Amino acid sequence: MIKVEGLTISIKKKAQTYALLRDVNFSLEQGQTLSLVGESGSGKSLITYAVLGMLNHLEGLEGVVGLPGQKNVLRLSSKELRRFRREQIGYIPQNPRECLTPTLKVGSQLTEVIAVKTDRSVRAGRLIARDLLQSLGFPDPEKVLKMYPHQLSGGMCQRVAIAMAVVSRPALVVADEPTSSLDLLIKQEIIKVIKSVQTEQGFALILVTHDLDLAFNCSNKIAVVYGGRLVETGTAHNLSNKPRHPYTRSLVRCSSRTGADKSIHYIPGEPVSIYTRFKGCRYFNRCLSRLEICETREPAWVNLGDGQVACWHYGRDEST
Amino acid sequence: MNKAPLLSISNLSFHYPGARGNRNTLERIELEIFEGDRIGMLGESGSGKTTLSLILAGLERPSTGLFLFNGKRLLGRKAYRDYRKKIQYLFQDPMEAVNRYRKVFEIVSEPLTYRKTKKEAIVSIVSELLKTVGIDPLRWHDYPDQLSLGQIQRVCLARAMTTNPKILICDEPFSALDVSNCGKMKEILLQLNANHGVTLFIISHEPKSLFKLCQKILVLHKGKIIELIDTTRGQHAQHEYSRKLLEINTT
Repeated sequence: MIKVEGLTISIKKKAQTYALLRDVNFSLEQGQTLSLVGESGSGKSLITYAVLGMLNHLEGLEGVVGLPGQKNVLRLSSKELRRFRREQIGYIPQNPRECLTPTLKVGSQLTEVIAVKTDRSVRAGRLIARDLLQSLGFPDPEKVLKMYPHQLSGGMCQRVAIAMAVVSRPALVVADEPTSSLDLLIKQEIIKVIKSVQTEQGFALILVTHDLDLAFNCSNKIAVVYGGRLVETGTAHNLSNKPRHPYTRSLVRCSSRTGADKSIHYIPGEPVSIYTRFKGCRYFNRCLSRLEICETREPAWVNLGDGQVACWHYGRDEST
Repeated sequence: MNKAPLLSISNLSFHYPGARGNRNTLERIELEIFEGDRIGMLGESGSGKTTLSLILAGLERPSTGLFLFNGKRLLGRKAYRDYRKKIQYLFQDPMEAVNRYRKVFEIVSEPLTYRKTKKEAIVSIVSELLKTVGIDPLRWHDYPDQLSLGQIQRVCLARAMTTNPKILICDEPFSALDVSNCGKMKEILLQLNANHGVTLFIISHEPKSLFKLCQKILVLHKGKIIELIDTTRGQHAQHEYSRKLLEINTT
């Protein structure tokens, strides 16, 4: 089980401290998928960087990120981190073409990763690479191994990147907008590939996306991020049918799924900058159902059984 | 309602120089665009969307076929140069399309300074456009780095509108934006279409936004227009391929 508790990142700038992330909590079972959704700049990617142990050098890093066999990823030494990255995690990038070396053949890059991650010889690595590519839907893996990245299409590059991420049978895979640069048909195919590998290997998947339809369709849990805080978490079913937080409601309305509906929705105003200091709820300025208390006090994280929400509309009068 | 089309394309084919066996990227395209239309183009990558938009923008010339603007054939460099003045292009990645070392106001006024517009006129045109696209006057003297991606995309839109183009070609205007910014962008595009009468030609691989915005949707597959869907009449996709594209979106 993956557990994130009280994850906070703060930076110092001109003798002031700014919180980039504040008190992020979520948990995820093996074999399940969590989607992080929110507007650009809300801190979705930052959460995943912290979970992957890429921010361990920062001073203002607090909280616990627990993975199977790891008490706290945030406190690993650099030697332990290397081992952790090699064995326990996989990362699927947004732009696969940029993560492959353009001057090396796909085969040598992939084999190298496999050899390092599984502690085997290059020759054995090549065999694994071939089988892996075949299972990811390449009919002729030998041919692909001899090609350069520029000879592959975007979808093929993405599948190679997926192969690199899952080869060590990691406990956790993070996919950061894996489909945003692909077109519709290929997008569907990539999601299918990721899902089928997940069912086979049973890793937990954190999916970062701003495509709500995608999040609703292929995840068990969803966490909505706004201004560096989680504002709501819940099951995909609950969030799409009865979103609780006003921000989630607006987001869901923005991406209304019915094609017949011709009206266009958006959330007025701009997202908060992390450099604005604010005592109350960070969504206050754009919220359509704000209360007086929202301006002065930050809402607490309320557990509602089938989900959590940080909003003054909940929790206060829950007893009645 | 028998207006003459603003732009008409008939039997247009195009192949890139040096293409193997002169294979056509676009084949026998037939298209009529009327003033004030909102046209969408749908297709997967490699279907020729960008090539067709480059031809419409006057940046590539058709290999064969007829290309009429206002009923006149475009011949020679001068005709193309004049034509290009009436077209503007909105690029996919807004951050790549602006000069990071210029302020927002300068970015938007740049096309006008090349056209030797008077300074007072520039200020009034640019201010009005920036207001239309919803950029707060406080941000007019900021650099692109200080703005969000959605805001920069809107700055690019304002820049494209400064020269009062007849046609605005938008190449994947929503793919870099999140849902909220997407909605805002769509509303502004509709507003510009209604108030300025600019013809919109929107390329996307996301059918959902096109159905909301456009009157007509072209479906491009392997260089051919396989279907023209008229959304105003509530027409649905007939062709098998376009149905497949639309189905993915709804499930």
